[in-house]
Amino acid sequence: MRHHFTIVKHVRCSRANVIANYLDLEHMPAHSGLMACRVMSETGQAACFEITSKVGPLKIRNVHYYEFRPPNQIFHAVESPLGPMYVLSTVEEFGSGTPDVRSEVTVETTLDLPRLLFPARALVERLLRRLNRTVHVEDCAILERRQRLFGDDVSDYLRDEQPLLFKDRFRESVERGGGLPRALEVR
Amino acid sequence: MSETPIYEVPIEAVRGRCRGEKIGSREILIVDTPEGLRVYDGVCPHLGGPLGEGRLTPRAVVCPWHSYTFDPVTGRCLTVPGGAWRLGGLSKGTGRPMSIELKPLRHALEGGFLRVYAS
Repeated sequence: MRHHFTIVKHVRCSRANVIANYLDLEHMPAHSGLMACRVMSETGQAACFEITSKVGPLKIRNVHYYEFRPPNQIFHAVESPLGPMYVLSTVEEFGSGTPDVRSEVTVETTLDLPRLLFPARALVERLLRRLNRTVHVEDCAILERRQRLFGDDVSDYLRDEQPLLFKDRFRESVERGGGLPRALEVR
Repeated sequence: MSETPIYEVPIEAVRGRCRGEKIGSREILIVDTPEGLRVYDGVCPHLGGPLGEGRLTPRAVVCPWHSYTFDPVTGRCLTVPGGAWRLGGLSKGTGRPMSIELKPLRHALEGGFLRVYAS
């Protein structure tokens, strides 16, 4: 039985920085409660990976499906212990090219809860919102620091040696929409 | 006219220690290594993480964002976390240290003080 809710988050950084952070799986263990991320498959636009989450004394391993829909959407599906969860995140940038650049991230979540859990959907939503807030606060520390240090420039994520999901797609996307220093724009 | 240091600290305060300092918007790392004092910019050369908030020892500087490890003696990248891709058996992400280095800052030991300069 499906339950849908939307979370809107704000962060003082460019869209390119937000998307790069989504695609940078190496930073996942920096989040509290997340560890051991392992990519099992990656094609140009979709990937499958597993992450271990610490929930109290338990370690739960979930398999995630990730899809980058350029220029500004990430679709994420996970078979969670509560049932399948589908998350579409859309990033919009405001104040582009100004020191006041900021992004709004709209996270639309659909939970496919088992019948037994459906009456507790409000509680489940509250727990997921809390988890989302924790991750957001941790991400903001990264994103706002990067924006302060490097502005809209995300070329460090695009280095040859840097593992990043969907790097080619992301490169194409930022070349069209900004996020690379001028010297790299014409290839 | 002599150059003004951006940071000055008695040598005894840094001997045998590893510390991160914030001076205005600048961040620096001071590490007393087996080969002597080293002073680096505190911004991780990988993706900009705050190295001063990571694990600092005389033999390793570990970034809190991605756990990239640097040798404080040479500044070179020692290890990367293994790479999610390498563990999955995919070719992306070699797991080899990246060709990035900590940025050294000019410094001098003068009159019992460690003086750090802007570049």
